[in-house]
Amino acid sequence: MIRVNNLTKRFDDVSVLRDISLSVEPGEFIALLGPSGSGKTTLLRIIAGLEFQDEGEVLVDGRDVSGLSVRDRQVGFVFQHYALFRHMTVAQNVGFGLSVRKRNRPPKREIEARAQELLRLVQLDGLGKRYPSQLSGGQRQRVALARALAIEPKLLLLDEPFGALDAKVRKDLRRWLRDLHRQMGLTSIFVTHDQEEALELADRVVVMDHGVIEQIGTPEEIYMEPATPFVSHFVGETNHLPDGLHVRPHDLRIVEEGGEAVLVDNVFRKGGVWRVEGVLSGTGEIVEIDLDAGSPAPQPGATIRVQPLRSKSFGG
Amino acid sequence: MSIHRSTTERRATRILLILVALAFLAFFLLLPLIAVFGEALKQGIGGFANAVTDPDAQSAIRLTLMVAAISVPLNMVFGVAASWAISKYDFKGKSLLVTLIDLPFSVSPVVSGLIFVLLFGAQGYLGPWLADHGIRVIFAVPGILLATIFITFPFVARELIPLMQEQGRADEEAALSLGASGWQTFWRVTLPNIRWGLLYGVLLCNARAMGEFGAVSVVSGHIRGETNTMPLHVEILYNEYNFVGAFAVASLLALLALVTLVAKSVLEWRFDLHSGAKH
Repeated sequence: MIRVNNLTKRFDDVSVLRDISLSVEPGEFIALLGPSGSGKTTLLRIIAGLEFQDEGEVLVDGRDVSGLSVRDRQVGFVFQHYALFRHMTVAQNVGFGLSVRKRNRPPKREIEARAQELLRLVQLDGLGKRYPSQLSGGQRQRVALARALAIEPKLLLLDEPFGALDAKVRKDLRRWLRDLHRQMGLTSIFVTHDQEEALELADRVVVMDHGVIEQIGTPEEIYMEPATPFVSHFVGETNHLPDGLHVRPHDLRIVEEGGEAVLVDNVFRKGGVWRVEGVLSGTGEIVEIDLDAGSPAPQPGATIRVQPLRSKSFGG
Repeated sequence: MSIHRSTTERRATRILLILVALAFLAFFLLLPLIAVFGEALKQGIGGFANAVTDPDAQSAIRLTLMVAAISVPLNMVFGVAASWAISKYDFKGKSLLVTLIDLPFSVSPVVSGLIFVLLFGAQGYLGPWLADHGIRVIFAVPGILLATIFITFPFVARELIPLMQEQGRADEEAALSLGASGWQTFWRVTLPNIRWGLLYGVLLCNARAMGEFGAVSVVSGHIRGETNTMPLHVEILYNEYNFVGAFAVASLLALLALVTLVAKSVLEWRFDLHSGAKH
């Protein structure tokens, strides 16, 4: 179990983490979600031992590891741009962690066999003799993962694992990583700025902004019960109605009487729904509404009245 | 049609530019090079051989090789250490260190030489103390070594700092997270990543170490057979109207420059290939 207690980190005079506390259960898959500058990567690096906190502590199974360097923490770290050793073959990359061991270093043949085994696990059979430059982005990512798994880490940390990949590969890898996490019984924490990724993969999501945790919860809780205006804004799409009401586009419906008047600007098909973009008559705030694609779409220029089915109030 | 015309115009400009560059090269590089070898062989191979095997020339060649053999490895270690510190760590005074590394490039070599005379010369700050202990620095080999090391310090570091900064710290961090020690990380990850850049820097450093004139001239004292390096020996022979001798030794230096140039091109080719394949 990982516990982070009251962590604080400053770079020069800028606070990047302020009083962060978090606990991760064995086997959990945790997402650190936030915009750039939210401190999520710094938090991940402190847990890894690549960066050190100014205050607070990091506990692994009850033991304070704050003084241990990354080398002694036995965590698997997957870097955003993979950081594969370009002068080594794929198999040598994967075997690196075993080959630098001072104590109980396995014999060469055993390291090679282990590398093969891990490459099979990440579905890269037969690519062991290639160099990283001969692989696609998605393949490199999987080599990086196999390399990190080779040291049998208790904890797997991934920094923007899909950041540098194109949309299709990203989606495939996402599902695959989720399966791998379950299959191996790992405890994993990954950093992302992509809310969709966080909601799809994680057991729990930690939403961060400006060095503080805004909310910790299951994807369901984060989406349906955002704790702060920031979370409501950052996770999913949100409209601002008067009196501090935050409403999702799909939680608005058209009514004959009452509700808020909206001047329709633009209507287009967005997948299975009509996306209506308009301006709130009262406040001039932009509003987005999703309507069932089976129903007739309002025309641009028309004024419609909308009412929230469900909303979240954050005060005036 | 218009596209076609615009490309032909560009091609004409390109050819003109290439011709200008070639003419410039021929006049300022090729012609002098031919002149050096031409003069060196004016009295045939025999004259050349005599000039090169002359005891003073031999001593100058030995001294130059020795100076290079000591200063280049030292600067290789200094250069790697300095670039490592600058590119992998954050510390106060980093920009000052970068400026200091460039100092030998920005100071006139003669002034560099004079600094060492001022420090270690008979009238210098440390001169009397050194003299009391029977150590000669100025007008002796140690002075030549010091001046050469100072002058050639930036070559390796200048080559490595941008390279290592561009490569970032992620590879090293990855190695450490996989359990490698600092030493293992350096030998197995960092050094292979910078090997071509390092070799290139070492070549340039070596070329300069063998060819340096100004600073070495100030501290050497021009004692024949003792403190004359090859460039100094060339000047002495030339001043004595021994043109064949001067050009013969000069042609050895020029040959060294050519070898360096070829080695550098080969390296650049490999280097490009290597870094190009990275993406």
